[in-house]
Amino acid sequence: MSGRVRVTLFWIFVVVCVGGAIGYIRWRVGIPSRSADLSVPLYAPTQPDVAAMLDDIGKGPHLFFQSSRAYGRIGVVKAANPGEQWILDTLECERSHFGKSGGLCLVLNRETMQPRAHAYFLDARFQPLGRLDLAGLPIRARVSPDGKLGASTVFVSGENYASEDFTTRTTLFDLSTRQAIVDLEKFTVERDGRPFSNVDFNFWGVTFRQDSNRFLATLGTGGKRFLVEGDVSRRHFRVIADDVECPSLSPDERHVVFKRQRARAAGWQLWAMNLDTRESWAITEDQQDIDDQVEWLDDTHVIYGMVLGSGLPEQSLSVWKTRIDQAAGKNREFFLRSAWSPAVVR
Amino acid sequence: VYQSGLSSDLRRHNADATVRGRIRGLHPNIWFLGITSLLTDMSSEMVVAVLPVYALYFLHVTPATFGVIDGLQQGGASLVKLLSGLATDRTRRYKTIAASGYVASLLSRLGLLVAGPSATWLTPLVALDRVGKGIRTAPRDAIISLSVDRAAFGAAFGVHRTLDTIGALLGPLLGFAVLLQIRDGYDVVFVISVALAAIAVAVLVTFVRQPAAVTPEPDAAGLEIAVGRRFSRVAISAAVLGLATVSDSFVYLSIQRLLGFPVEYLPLLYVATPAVYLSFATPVGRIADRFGSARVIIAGYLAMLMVYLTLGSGLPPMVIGIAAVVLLGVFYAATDGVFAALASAELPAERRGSGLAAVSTANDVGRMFASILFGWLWTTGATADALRHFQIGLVVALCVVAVLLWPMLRNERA
Repeated sequence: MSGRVRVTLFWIFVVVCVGGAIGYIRWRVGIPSRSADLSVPLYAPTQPDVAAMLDDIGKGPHLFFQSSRAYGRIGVVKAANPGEQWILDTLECERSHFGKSGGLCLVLNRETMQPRAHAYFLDARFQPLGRLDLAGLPIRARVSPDGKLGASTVFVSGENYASEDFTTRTTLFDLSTRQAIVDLEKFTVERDGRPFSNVDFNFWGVTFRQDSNRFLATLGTGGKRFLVEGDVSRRHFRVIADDVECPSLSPDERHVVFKRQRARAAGWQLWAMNLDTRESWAITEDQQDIDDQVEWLDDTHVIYGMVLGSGLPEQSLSVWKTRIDQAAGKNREFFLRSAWSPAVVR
Repeated sequence: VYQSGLSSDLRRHNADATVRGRIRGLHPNIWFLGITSLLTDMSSEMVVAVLPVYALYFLHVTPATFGVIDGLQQGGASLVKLLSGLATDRTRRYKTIAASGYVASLLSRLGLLVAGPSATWLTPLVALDRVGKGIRTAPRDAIISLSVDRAAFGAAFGVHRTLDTIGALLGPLLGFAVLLQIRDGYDVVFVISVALAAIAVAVLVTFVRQPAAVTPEPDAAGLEIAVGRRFSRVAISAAVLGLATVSDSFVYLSIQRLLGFPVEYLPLLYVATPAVYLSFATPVGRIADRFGSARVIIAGYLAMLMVYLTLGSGLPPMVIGIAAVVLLGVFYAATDGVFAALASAELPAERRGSGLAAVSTANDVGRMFASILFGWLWTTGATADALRHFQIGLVVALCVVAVLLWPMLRNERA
């Protein structure tokens, strides 16, 4: 091939590539969205029938979730009837969680070179009351059952001098004053009655007790994970078990469901532990990798989000239900379509 | 020394470069490889920049999977780099091997586009891109060094690194610009990325000339041992210096804490240092050609030592911030391409691929251990102590390297 032919072919190729890209962009700009089906009806939370439903919360548990059909806007169903979904016209959350009197919605601000989260405090009608800026990518949100305390966990990159890996940072909030109470790294820790400390301490996976003061969480240090019990007023942690990550405490406070690294493959499996006997057992299948914040539907069932297969989140993302008693074995049942970050409000 | 069978055209260019000492006189291969790298880095970095949000909030991969992907991106493909260097020298198919590395990255981008929103394919596709990067580095640097006379190694690597860094700076800006305009426009980012990567491969295939067959030296055996010794000194120096170098993120984080500015401005630092680097890479390369690569490298590490001293000093935070960013940029300008230039001068033509890969891997491994060591120091004591240990470490490393590189420091053209 002569030089001139090669150069001509090169320019033709460049024109095809540039033209193709421009053509694609022009076509794509005309399409409103890909990850959400905004044709779903959105209800105003103040609308009479929605308000009536929200007022029903005392009569039976309700489930709040983020809808992948509407960019993470909050959806509501009655736990007894998950088929009837109401998707509300709220903020678009990446993670959210709710208690009786309000909740927390973590929104991702994508408009900066280093995207990070804002924590919005919502009232019982999902109206934002205030906002705090967080330092990284949102991964977990949890609110105490009465809605007084909240916790958020974000991924922070370059936080740790030891490595360039992502680390987590967990902050506690007082939802009534809408202020951060404290960074969990400021708590003192005791293990077997002695002070325990290390610069690489990392906390995540907060789950509150009913009293709105004590909570359980994960402490990570030196490659190990511990279950710790925190006391907000004393700013203190006590190590209570080993090898427990992302605990979730049952409403009767007798069990925790947590994730544990799978023995034969990468990823996590859900386990349950009886807090009285300290006995623990796997509750989901070995082959399933599950890594979402677990929520208790009642004292014997948990629900959690999971991606199955490929495709847009609208199709692949859903909430599953698992029975925790040992006799039930490893099990999983479909619960809610196009949803993640479930929160049960009773 | 290595007089390979370069085409007359190529010799003419080299002569121009030597005589006029001009950047414009560099062999076209340098420019075209530079453009290839610019487009490829743009293509690659625009995807890397949007990947965390794409993975976590569009595909909803689990944080653990995300950790694996992030780890893949941080880790260099050092082993692949070495293997590719060896294959390059054995087959002498510089252009073909380099092209296959660029094509691997192109296929990775194409895969992201074709696989669509798929969490399953994300990890292998990111891995494929890293493998491609590992494959192309050694043959590319070998072509650069084989396309110019040894008197212009510094300038050639300087020009290449300047263009390469421009791409790495523009990529993330383009990626974010797309996402701001088009909601969830990840597919658009991938389409642009594919187009850029494809044009990059086309530039390489169309315009870069395969260096002509390299003929081994007549008295190869004797020379090889002598050359081998000098080269080992360069490679060991790269490792020793790497071992005393803290990570960029440490420098940035220290500045951010000193100045107390919000973390969302942290990316400005990530932009400022490459901006300094790319402005200085070419002039510093020419200085290296003039006064000797080894001396420039020592000067570069002295700049790094000044970064440490600045961070630990009691100067006003603003002064520390600006000085540290500029010095860090100067450090990269005076060491990255210049090390390749120094190593090229100590390598026979038929060893360029593996030799350059070995030097760069030696430095990577040194830095990796430094990072582990720093982490350990940080975990056991205060950060200030860790910084002080690294200061002493770098002074010791510089003394060791001055001895190792003494023949090159002394003998070089002044």
